[in-house]
Amino acid sequence: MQHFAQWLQATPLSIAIQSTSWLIPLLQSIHIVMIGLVFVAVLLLVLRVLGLARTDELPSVVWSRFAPWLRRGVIVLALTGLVLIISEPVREFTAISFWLKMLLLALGLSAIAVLGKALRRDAPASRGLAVLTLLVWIAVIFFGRAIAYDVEVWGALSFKA
Amino acid sequence: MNTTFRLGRVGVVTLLLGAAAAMPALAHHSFAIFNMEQTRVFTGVVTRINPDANHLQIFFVPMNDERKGVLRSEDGKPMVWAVEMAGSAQAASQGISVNSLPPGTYISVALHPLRSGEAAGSRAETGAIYRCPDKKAPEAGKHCDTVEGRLAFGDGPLAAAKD
Amino acid sequence: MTLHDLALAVGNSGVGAWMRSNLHAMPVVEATHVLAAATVLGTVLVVDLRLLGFTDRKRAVTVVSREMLGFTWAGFVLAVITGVMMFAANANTYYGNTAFRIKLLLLAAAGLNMAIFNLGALRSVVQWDLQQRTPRAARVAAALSVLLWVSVIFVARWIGFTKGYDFAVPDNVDLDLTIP
Repeated sequence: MQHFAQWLQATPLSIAIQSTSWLIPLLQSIHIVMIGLVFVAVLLLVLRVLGLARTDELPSVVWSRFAPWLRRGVIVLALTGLVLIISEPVREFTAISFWLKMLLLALGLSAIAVLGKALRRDAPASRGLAVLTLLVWIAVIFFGRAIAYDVEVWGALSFKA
Repeated sequence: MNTTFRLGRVGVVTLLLGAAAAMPALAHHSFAIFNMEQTRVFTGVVTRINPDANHLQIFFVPMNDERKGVLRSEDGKPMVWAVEMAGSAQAASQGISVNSLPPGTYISVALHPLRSGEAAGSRAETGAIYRCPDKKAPEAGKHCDTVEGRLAFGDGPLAAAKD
Repeated sequence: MTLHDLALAVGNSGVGAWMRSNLHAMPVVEATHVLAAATVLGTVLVVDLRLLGFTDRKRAVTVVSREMLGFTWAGFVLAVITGVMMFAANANTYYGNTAFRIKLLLLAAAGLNMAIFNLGALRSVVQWDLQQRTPRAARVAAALSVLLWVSVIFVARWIGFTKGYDFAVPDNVDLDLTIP
């Protein structure tokens, strides 16, 4: 993995991204805007399951209102994230927070898919899972930001320490 | 509109990727604005420390190769360089602070310069910062790590210069 | 006391010192700031897109906005608290940063836009609450709001990349090397 990251970081594509000064802040900005979209979509879906928002609408209506935000948002996040990884693979792959974020992201996506199944059919969904889903997504955002601070956050556990 | 949402597969792939990732053996860190392929080594006089929480910056004026004066522009102004590193809390754990490196201190540091050409660079992966004993400059062409009574802040030898 | 003095005072406060000396402070506060900002942006967007007639066309404007308002304010307050903490950590650097100054101006513009909308178009909301097409003034305010809040995120991300370096040499530094 380390070798792969170092190889990737030395590719012309990676170097081109690294040396275009405005590209990384631009991609990060788009990434954050999309986090806003996706997080609020998750928030409202979770609140609908809990009966705390949009109770005047059927769960299936709320799902079809926010699922497109989620799906498109996640796609843009994946694309911008991918380019950011290509630009600095060593930094990402050696960060504990990066792998934890990816793991939590997989959990968060699976959890929202499970909730979606129930919401689409207007069937009752697990309230516990709904709360957990929201917490997992909050954790995804936290560890995303923490990638830049691996030594500070993980101390001696960090591979960079 | 019946919107299906199937991204579980992405999750599975991510998990597999995670599992496939061997423990990275080396610690590396990179910042795109710096040219990590290049390393410059300086010995200079500290002028100021900006203890920012996310990146502590040390400002210094490099000495000439003879170590008998500092670099100045044609109009006599000192040519100041900056080196930045991890946040002040992390730097403090290596003993680097406003108090340990006061203005006038002689230090040696290796850095990866900015791509923009501005006189600043990153200390990532370049070893310790060496502090000469008070007002004792190293011999011509040498750095503080060769001076008896030096102090090291951080780990590792001073990285070698690389173009 | 000038604005710069005030900034330096904030930087030299206990909060600033704590932010600089605690290893976990910066990542935790920054992550919270991102979460808070994402909440503000996302909830504002829900309301603005309704005003623009793109989404939630069948729901009353007041219902959509009332539902989001609490989250928007909670996110905003959290963002301000964490933002002040981050400012205290690097006060002098942020004070002189152009992107930071533009961000504050954009935030003020977003607030002004919201105030104008609240005191203007929104007062007659009972007449168009359920209409798909809202008055022109409401649509303009919504479009401006989207533009301003997205811009706030963009310039905010630029601060970290344009912090710059203050190369000024203090007067009392001895640059004459004593030759042994």
